[in-house]
Amino acid sequence: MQYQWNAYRGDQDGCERTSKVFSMRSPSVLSDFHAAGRKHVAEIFMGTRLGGRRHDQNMPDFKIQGSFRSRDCKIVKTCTGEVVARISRKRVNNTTILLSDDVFSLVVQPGFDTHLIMAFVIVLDRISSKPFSPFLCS
Amino acid sequence: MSRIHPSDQSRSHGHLLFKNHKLGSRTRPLHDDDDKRSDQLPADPSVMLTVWKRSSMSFQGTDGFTVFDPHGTLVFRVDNYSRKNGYGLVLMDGVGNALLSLKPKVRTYNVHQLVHQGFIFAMSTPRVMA
Repeated sequence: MQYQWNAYRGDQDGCERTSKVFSMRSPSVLSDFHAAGRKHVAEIFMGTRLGGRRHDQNMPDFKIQGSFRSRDCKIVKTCTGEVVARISRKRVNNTTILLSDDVFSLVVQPGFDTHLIMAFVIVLDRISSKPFSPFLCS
Repeated sequence: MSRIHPSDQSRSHGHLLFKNHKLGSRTRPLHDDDDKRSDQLPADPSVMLTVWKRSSMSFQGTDGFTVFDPHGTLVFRVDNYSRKNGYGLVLMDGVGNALLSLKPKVRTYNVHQLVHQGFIFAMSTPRVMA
């Protein structure tokens, strides 16, 4: 079992395939056996690619590396290896004083849609931060 | 921190992030096919956002995110009022227009996927609930 979140345009309730923007999921437990030492914690498929069985083996469009729980991770575009956005703990005015981890910085590289990146972060929080949430029992 | 009310944030109607978004041509497409065009884009500075993992509605029991730009303008927010509606979340801009709806889905493996990934189980059930 793994968690997958789908994002749809706007606030519509109907999960129509046409309005799907991306799918994001934690990496397959089974594929961990294949790729030992894999580091990414989530993978993102743009558009409607995820869902058909034939696409399941494909490379994700984006992946998230590092630890979101310790607020130290980056979103990487898989095909180029380019870092799209980086999450880090927020410091007080460039000093070494760290704020609590409820507050963190998100630096998005130029040109990428910030609302998509922010949606990735929200899903990442839901996927990774609460291993014993009531969500498991639903 | 004082309470943030959506009606106080009318200035984020003209927020730079959304101006760029509306133009469309300035944002780099996320799909690989359109990568060639991205070289012609002007070098914009990267966007620094501060994410506050808390709802902008400051009463008890709410859950969400509030995102500010370096000028302190509310850029995005997520407010989760209840756990109904399939645990879905809505990402909104500063004034409360819905941008994206996020919905969870529990995936299960079926035998085809397991065999395809090299795992063969001697099980008679057609569906494996991992």
